[in-house]
Amino acid sequence: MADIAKQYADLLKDKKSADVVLASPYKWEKVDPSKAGEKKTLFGICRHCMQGDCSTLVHMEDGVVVKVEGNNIPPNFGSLCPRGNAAIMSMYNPYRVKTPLMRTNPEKGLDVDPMWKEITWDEALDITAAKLKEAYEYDPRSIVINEGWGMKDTLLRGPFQYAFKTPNMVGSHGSLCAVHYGTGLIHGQFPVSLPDLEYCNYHITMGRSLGVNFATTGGSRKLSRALERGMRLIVIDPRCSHEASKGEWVPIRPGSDLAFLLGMANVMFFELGDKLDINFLKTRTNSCYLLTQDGWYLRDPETNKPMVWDKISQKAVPFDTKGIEPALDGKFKVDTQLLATGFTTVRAGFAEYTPEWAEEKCTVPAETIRRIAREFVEYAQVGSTIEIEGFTFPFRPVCLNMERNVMSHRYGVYADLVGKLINMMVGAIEVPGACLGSGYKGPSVLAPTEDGTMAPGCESKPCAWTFPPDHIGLQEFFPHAHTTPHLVTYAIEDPDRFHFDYKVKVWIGGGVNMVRTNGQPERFVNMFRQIPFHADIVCHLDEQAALADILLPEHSFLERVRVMPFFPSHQSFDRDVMGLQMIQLRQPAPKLFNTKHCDEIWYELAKRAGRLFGEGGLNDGINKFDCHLIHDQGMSMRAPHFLELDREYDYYDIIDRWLKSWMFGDGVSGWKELNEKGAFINWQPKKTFYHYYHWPEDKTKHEFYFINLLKVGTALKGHLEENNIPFPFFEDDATPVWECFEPVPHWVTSSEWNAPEEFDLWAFNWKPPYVSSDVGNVVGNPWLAELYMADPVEGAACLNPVTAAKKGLKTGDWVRITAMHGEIECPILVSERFHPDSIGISGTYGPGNHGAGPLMKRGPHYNRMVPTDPRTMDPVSGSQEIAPKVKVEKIPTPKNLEKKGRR
Amino acid sequence: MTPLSWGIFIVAAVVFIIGGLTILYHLVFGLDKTGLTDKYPWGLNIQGFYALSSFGTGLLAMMSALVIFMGAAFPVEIFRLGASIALALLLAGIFLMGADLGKPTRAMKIATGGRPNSPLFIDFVTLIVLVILSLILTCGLGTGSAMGMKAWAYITLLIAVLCMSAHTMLIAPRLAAGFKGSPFFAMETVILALWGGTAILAVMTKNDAASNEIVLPILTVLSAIALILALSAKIAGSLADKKVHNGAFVGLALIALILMIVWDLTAASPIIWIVAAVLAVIAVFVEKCESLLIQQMHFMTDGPHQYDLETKPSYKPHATEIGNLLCGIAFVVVLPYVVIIIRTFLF
Amino acid sequence: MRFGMLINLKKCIGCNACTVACKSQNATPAGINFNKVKKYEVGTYPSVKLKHMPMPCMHCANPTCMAVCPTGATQRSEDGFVTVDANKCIGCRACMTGCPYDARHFLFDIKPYYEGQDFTPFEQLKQKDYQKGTVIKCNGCMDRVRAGLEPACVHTCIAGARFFGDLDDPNSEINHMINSQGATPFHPELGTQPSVYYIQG
Repeated sequence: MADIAKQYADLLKDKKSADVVLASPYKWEKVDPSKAGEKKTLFGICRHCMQGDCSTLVHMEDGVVVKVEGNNIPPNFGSLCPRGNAAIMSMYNPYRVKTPLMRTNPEKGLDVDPMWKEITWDEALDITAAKLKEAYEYDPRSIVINEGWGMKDTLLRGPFQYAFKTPNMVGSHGSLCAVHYGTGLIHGQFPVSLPDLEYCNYHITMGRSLGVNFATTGGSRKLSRALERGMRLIVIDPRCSHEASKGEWVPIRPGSDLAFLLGMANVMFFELGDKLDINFLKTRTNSCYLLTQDGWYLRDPETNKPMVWDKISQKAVPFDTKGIEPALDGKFKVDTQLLATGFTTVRAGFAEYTPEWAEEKCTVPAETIRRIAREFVEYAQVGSTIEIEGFTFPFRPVCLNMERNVMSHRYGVYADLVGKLINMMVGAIEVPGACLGSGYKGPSVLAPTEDGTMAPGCESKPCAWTFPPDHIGLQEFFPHAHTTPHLVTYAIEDPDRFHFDYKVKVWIGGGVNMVRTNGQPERFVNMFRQIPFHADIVCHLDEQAALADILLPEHSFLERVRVMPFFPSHQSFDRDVMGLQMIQLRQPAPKLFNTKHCDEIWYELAKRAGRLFGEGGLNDGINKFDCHLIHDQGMSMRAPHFLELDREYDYYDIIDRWLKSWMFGDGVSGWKELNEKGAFINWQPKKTFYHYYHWPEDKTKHEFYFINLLKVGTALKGHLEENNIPFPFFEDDATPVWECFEPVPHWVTSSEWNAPEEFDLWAFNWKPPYVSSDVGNVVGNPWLAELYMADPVEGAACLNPVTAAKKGLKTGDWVRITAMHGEIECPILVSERFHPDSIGISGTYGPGNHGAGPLMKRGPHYNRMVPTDPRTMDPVSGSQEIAPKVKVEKIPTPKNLEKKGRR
Repeated sequence: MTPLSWGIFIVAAVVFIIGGLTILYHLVFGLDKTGLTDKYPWGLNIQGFYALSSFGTGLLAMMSALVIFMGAAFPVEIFRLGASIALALLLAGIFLMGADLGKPTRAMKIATGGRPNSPLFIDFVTLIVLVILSLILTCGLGTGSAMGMKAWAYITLLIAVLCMSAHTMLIAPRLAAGFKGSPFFAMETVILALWGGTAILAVMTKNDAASNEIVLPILTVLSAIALILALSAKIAGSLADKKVHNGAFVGLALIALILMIVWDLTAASPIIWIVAAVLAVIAVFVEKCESLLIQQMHFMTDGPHQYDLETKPSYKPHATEIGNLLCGIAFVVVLPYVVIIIRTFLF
Repeated sequence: MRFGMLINLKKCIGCNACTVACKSQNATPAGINFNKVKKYEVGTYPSVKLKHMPMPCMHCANPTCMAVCPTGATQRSEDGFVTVDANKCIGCRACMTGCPYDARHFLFDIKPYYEGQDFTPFEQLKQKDYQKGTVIKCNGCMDRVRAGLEPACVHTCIAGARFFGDLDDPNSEINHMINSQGATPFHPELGTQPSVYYIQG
């Protein structure tokens, strides 16, 4: 009744029937009448997810962007996901930052009003440049550049870092997704290794999405075709996701994936040993190398080469001796010692991990583990070959892949490496149908070192040691870590603990939001309170922007010009992208507000801070810039297009030179030609897409015995001893660190395994198709909000019905979910699609901040429960614990639901 | 007009004005404030329209029938009052329908749309004609001539029953496709209109023994038919394994019938049949909700499996809809009083 | 020519790309999407699956909605598109009660996409033809189809689950697929003769 009376009263007070002053909405400028009747189509590249490479067409009418659709060229051939279609609303977003702002309220907090003052671009750039100059003169390392997925459209940030000589580039995005070690070590590439869905017949996927779960355009296209072709898909996941519904779902307890992998490897070693790809292990891995008692290669005293046991001559010889028959398995007497081969050593490490042992840890039945292992080996067709474009490859159409939900635990790297062992045991590495590294394809990747094995690449190459440390992200102590924003909070909080001899003075961010996307948001808020000067290049006013001193507003992605080499990086491969060499183009839509392109901002800052000209300046950086992902296959400047060091250049001139330098181009086509064509497209022969082609047979080897871990761990221990310092965070006992640097993976408990008994459920998280990886303000986009608000899974915690019944909970009940590091509140949804030991919360919602749109403040912020404590992370990759153990208690339904949830 | 009558009139007039504001709101500003949604496109407004117009058509049909029965002996004054009540019921229904239209100013397009077999067209036309017919009797035109009254009666009877049928035809295409509805729905719509109309007529003829003696047994018979039809719908539903949601109606009809039988057998206090008549009116109103609004007409399309990941919709009438209904009901009291006041003080 | 669509439920992944492409194409007001993707679970743990069913307007050959429309605002064209003329619609919503496919929407109000804010230039330009108080629905991307393009939802589908073609042409790809894969419309027993067929999955 009270409702009815209130509704009646509202009726009378409505602004149509009475003058009521409401909080004023943003007044859009009227459509420009001079543009009436004008129709235009622009070439575009989408940027609404991490992938950011779908080719689009952007249609404009009367000066307004009216439609974004897929362009019928690679890599997406006309398809476009829901987020790509919704791009228009991220451009016409009234909550964008429209002009440079300066904070006048010194107090910082998520709910604190910064009391922004509008300033001119000159003022904003001058203030920031002055701070940069001052910091550079004090110590270049005192400048931190902070980047995220919102700033992948930049060409000048890398040269900017070069110009300011700072080692400190902190990425916000990687520490909950540090999945790169295994790919770097075994494939020499970055970021991940992926299944060849053109030929794969049996694919096991864990803790990741093949594209369908996130609704990624490319991944969904490829998986759809592979399933139609008849590929078996095994999805090992605590939830029956969209992908699991298309294949076979194997439920697993969250946080226990390493146990499954150890169990499966055990079956392959001990029950299927005669069916493995013995030839691959012998000729393409270091399995035959003899190991000393301390685990190092036995080396030939003359040549220093690693040695193997020759069955013919019955002695140890250098591995590359001709005409030998190396022993794969066994212990052999060399001098007075009995030495084992790499293979024997690794296999022995797996003896205790029987499927029965694994079942107890991960709840996957032993029968199922055995069956999957058996099927995997059968489908691998060991010994078979396939001819592609006249070249004969081994054909191994199976692949096991995993990503962040498996690797974001203390055993993350070991899990990654066991996955590699499983693939290697059937030779399913870098051949058709099998596991391939993402990225550029060419002979340099698997090139062997003098040891016969390929050089560790990318993140399996350790960060060089310096002392006192240079890196604010503590990479000296965690040399393989991907990005370490969580560690930066500790470094800034207490720099003396880590022996820093400088202090951070300037923090400049772009397209980044660690407060929302990392864990324990209060730690980041506190960190920003301690940084003397913080400027952010932002599009909309999100949590990190609310803590900045100066905001430098950039264009939304539709308004940003972008020229980009295509780089196949996520989910899977097939004919859509195999061999594709492409330069993609985004022609910008006219800007709406007083914003600038991020590269304009980097350029101006470098100029005003005196770092543009001369040796070591920005121009020099542009000349020398080599994209760490695709090296010289990207747009690297070459003669005769180098910039003169002491001139200013127009951005389009720089782009033109880069285009003409592209090694797959014709050398003369530049910016003008690209604008006419929309893209430069070449295809390299498909056979060159597989690295086996470049180093076939025994020409190179992969590590099977992971000596790289031993090397780096030993070196790190040595450095600490040299400088007489304990391992930070493990001052009392660094065993938890060293046990992760052993060359044979083994069971390691995550931080959550020994949680107190009251924490009886495992929380876990996934990215939903509506907002995927939260790039470009998808959560605040009203078209996407309509979708996620209508889906009862979003914003709720999902529980298995048996578990819910035990706890006396039903759909709609509100609960408080408490982890050891944080808590959230949300309603329950009971669903059959969830493992009974789990509680699943989707997406990337909350926490919200002063000045953000209302959509940004809703929903449970899962990351509140994710720890930043380094003792919970994997000490090799730096990945944070993503599946905390929690306890759940019922609470009364909150009154003001609009503020808390969306129901 | 007694002081009690004045009191009732003033209260009704106040309710009419307060409720009238919501009707005006809808007419001017449209349906932006409402409890209706895409899943429940019809709600209390339409329920009110159906109920009130069915009472109006039922009342007119019964009065026509009685005129045919009784010939020149029909109670003119009572029927003139009845006609003003019927006029008020029909106009109130039209107000509700008008407020419920998205574009009420285009209402004439129903007539010009060129779709004469559309049930809404027939409904529209018959309602207008019935308004004119009830106005004629309210003003007492032709009541002197027996032939004139007979002509009025025959025309009114035919048009009234056609109007009742139009209400059922509205969902004929869906029913023909075997789509949720009982085989008794059409019959029930007509019978219930007559039943409701008879109940109102019974109360009106309370002080005229001759007509009351005819009307009350008809009320008993109609109560019996209404109850049995509703029960049959439930049985038919169970045969087809479909749930028919008319439980509240069945309960009210049963009590009304029992009361009428008791009155018929004992002729004790008239309160018995008055309560039955009131229950009949309420029952018809409730039935409009059950048959039109809740499960029968509005439901989520059954997928291969029920779409259990969608939140189930629900409908809660908004203040505007309650205001509209109160306005309509109040009007049914206000208009006859206005007619009485005009006749008393001007003639 | 009779407009027909085929949706392969084996391939549909429930991503709603079609929903947003349609929204962008038609600039449907806030809260309204012509294309819906219904989601449901089948089975009990651990033999359970998540399933999806995209539902545009079925553009029935024998539409219930057209039969009850009193003003003739709802019409069916020669090539099979069922449309609503916003200038004739009186907003009685009888058609909505007659549609078994949840295909119609009523414009109770036209609110800005960003709640509490004003209409963006996109809305100002593209929503001119929407009239508050009328019924709106999917129009099969009639203008695109007549210009030789695919409907927006078909063009964008990332799983390759949607197809479009001429049901009157016995040699068309769509008819071939309907026959070879046993595709059926939704609730065929209602007699509405929908033009959208589904391959079950």
